[in-house]
Amino acid sequence: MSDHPQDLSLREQARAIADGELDATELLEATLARIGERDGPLRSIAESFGSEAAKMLAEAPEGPLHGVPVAVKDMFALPWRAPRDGSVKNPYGIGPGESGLYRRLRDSGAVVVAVTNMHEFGIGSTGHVSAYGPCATPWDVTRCAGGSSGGSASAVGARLVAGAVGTDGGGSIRYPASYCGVTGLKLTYGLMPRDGYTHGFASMGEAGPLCRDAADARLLAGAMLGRPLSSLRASGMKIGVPNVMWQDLDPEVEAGCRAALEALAEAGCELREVGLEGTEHALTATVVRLTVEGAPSARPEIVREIEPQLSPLIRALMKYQLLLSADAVVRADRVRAQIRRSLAAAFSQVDVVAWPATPAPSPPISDPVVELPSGRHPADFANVRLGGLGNLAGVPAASVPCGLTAGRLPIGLQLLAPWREEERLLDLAELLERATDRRFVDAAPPVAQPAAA
Amino acid sequence: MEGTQQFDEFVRLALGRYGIAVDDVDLAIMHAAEGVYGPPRDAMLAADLSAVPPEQGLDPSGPPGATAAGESA
Repeated sequence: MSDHPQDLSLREQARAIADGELDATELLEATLARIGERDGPLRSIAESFGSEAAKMLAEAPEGPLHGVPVAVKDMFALPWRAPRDGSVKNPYGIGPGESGLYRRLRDSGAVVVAVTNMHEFGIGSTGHVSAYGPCATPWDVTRCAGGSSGGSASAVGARLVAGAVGTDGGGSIRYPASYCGVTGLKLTYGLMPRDGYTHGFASMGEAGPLCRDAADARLLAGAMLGRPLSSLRASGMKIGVPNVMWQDLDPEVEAGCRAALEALAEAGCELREVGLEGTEHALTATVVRLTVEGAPSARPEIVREIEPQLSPLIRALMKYQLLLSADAVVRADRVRAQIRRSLAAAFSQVDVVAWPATPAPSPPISDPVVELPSGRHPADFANVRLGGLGNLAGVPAASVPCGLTAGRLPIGLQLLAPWREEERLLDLAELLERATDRRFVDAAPPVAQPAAA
Repeated sequence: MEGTQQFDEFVRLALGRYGIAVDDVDLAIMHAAEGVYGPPRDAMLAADLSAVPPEQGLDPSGPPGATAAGESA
């Protein structure tokens, strides 16, 4: 049994500090040491902060996360560092400063110990393209952590930190949560302040916590929102299962997610088939919305400055995005309206809807392609089909660990709730944890096994 | 081949209009992206969405509002 404080949960760290059982300075030092020891093959951390974190700790107010180290995705301004969006420089002209997220974390007593790696400019669901190098899942360092919040998920999965903040504009919290075996929650659009967030202009993206389990995600989400999230009974919830979102899946992923639904049914939930409209165009509508909002927001003079240092893939995709037709934008918005209405109608019948977070487990970094019954597809193409709905609609959405493949790669179940009903997702995730004896949230990846320490 | 040449010409002219240069690496990646995302985009462009009213004043932080009176499908 490890006695390293980063093997404690986020809530255990917070409680131990509050009770005087754990020295926050020792926790910070142990966290920085563990990052140094473990992160090499993962590349989950873009930069860690010894002196700045120590200063935050010295000035930390009392709060739910007093003295607890957390990591933040490379999309938020910190007083000592400009966000870089996984690149050499963010193209939006955002410099160092107090982002809204930073203020919320600081006011909760948390200590920002590191910035996490991410897919360059957020344009990808794999995390294998970044100025900081390809980010790996702690379950297999030759495979993708997911994107674009891959560093946050990988760092939590590897027990470098117990909580990290990600963002999700097209599934970017849920894919890495699934690939890294952690709990990720995209908050309802608009709940977090937008200032100092590189994609604050967007109508799709929102921040959220990545933690090892739902109780920690509840704690970190509460700190981010500035109010605690209550805990209610999930037993008896009605779970909508749209068959259209359960097509063309890796057999092990489908089996793992269906087993999770069966476990929830045995725990007292009711499963109901529900219909959803517009899903056949959700992928395109998501890509179109992300494109039309992202590229024009970049400052041309900065893009010209950094273009020689961009990855060839991202450089080409940024140009490709500029070819989008107005017709596609208008139609994508019709699809978005259709999906929002359809989800709202579904939520009049059920409490949440569920389908897999990703259609397949994490692909290799060297070839980020997934094998599905319909053939081989780029992971981005396959993932956004499942993840985009939550962003088009604006609803809260989570990925919760629900299984491991025979090759010991994590599987995530995706849950969506009505607008501002984050608690429902966390309640249901906790019920699933109990129903599966915490087998999947407590499973430790190879880099976090005691022998690897 | 003809389609490829047309695509290349379109890309060079469209982006050149804004002073954006395109090299062979860019074009190769764009071809791959078009191969993946082009068909579903074309399917959406071909879909009959006339029965889907637009959502005016979109606010993703909440559920969709009622369709405004006089909105056409």
